[in-house]
Amino acid sequence: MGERAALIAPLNSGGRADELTARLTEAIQLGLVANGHRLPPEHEFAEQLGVSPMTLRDAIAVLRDRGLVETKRGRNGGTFVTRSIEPDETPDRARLAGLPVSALRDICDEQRAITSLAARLAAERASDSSVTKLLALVDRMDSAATRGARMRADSRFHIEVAIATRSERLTRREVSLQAETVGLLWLSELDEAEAVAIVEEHREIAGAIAEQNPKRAQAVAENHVLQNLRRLAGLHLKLVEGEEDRS
Amino acid sequence: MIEQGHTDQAAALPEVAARLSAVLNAQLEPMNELAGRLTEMWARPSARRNGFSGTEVSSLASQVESAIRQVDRMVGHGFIAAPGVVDGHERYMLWLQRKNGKIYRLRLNIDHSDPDSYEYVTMEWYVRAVTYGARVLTGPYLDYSGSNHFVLTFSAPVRSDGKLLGVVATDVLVHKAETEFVKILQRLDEDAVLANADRIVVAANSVRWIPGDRLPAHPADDPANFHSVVPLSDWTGWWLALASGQGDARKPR
Repeated sequence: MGERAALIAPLNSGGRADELTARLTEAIQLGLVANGHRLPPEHEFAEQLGVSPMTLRDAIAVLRDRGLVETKRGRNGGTFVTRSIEPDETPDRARLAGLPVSALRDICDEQRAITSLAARLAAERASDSSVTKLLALVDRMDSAATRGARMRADSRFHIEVAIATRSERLTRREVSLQAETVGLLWLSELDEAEAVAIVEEHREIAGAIAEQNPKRAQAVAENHVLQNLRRLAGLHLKLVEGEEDRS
Repeated sequence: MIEQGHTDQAAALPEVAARLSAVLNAQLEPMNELAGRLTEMWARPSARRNGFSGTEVSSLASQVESAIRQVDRMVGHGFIAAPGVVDGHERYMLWLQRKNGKIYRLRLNIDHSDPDSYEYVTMEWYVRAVTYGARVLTGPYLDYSGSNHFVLTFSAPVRSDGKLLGVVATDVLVHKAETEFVKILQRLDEDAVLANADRIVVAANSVRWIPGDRLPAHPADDPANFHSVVPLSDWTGWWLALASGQGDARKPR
């Protein structure tokens, strides 16, 4: 990632490990860094990112747990990006099983604030080219057939809405929320009817932004987040029910 | 340029517009220099035969780096090759950017067989420069997939005998540019707003307008709210407008 450090540094180099983790996760999952890319030596990478080596070490450890990087020893060793186009859902399934509905509600409360306000501001401010991108991302999501493609189209859509606001802070929070939740939603247990509904909700949000209708954009985005909470809670309950069956 | 802040003698609208245009036009100089070097290199027989080599293009890195170093508001600068112009590289970019006071070469995932790569030939600043065939100004926008900054992008096509070699471009930090624009706008006594072709406010000398907001109409079509409007240099698409009457929120004096 070396020279790419500038790209994946947190927008505000506050040095918080979770923020750095989210940004690195997103950079890898969205394909901003290529598979097999070798990270620069720790002290050098930390300097480029503007974080302490400790913070970087913590973030790398989380990435390793998520299977996004691997560390090899020896002369040709180092830490390498292991990005797969189709990410394994096992870690996400385990994470969702461990998140009670009250914890999911907490995440979604924050997402309601961020995502619906971003949609509102995007309707007020988006440039024509942002609108074109959003509409294209809805179509891309519609034609996405695999888990990986759906995850990327879903999070890219929400990040693009935030980008359209020109608010760095909102975008940073949206990136962080997407990195945290998108894998939880797109599990194979999710009904196909829900996948269709998610595309339609995205289309409504993009449509309201294209029409420059801030109130409607805010309302449909908030509804989308609430629907996602219902979906996540449903998946969680299904997963823990399965656990009991096995015990 | 030394700004004196608010002076007794208020500046006239055309003078302020000219100063703002001068800031934007100055940003084209390093791009013209870089484009000049590239067309010179393209005239070499080897380049005519096989295209640029990666080494050849990379040899311009020190020129790009010193251009960034000289101007505080510049955060990125470089050359983005048209497909097939650099031998053995379907996509190629020489892009340097400033981060934490140092200048690094940015290497993006530009493997165009990867559907998630940074496909620059579809980016607005690339498409517009190539389509218009001239310098263009894009933004302010958040460049999330590229440089990860809030920027204005200046871009221009590089051609040799009609063949497109690529695009030279510069990223300027919006926050630094706004600070400079505000100082210039404060030479005016009246409430003034600087906005781009999409009616997005870039800077203002009054709290009537907040940068990032979109104005409901172009000032020329909105005589109730604006009494004067002047375009900056044509290629920018930007304009400067003066408000009619007294706003409900006057700028602090």
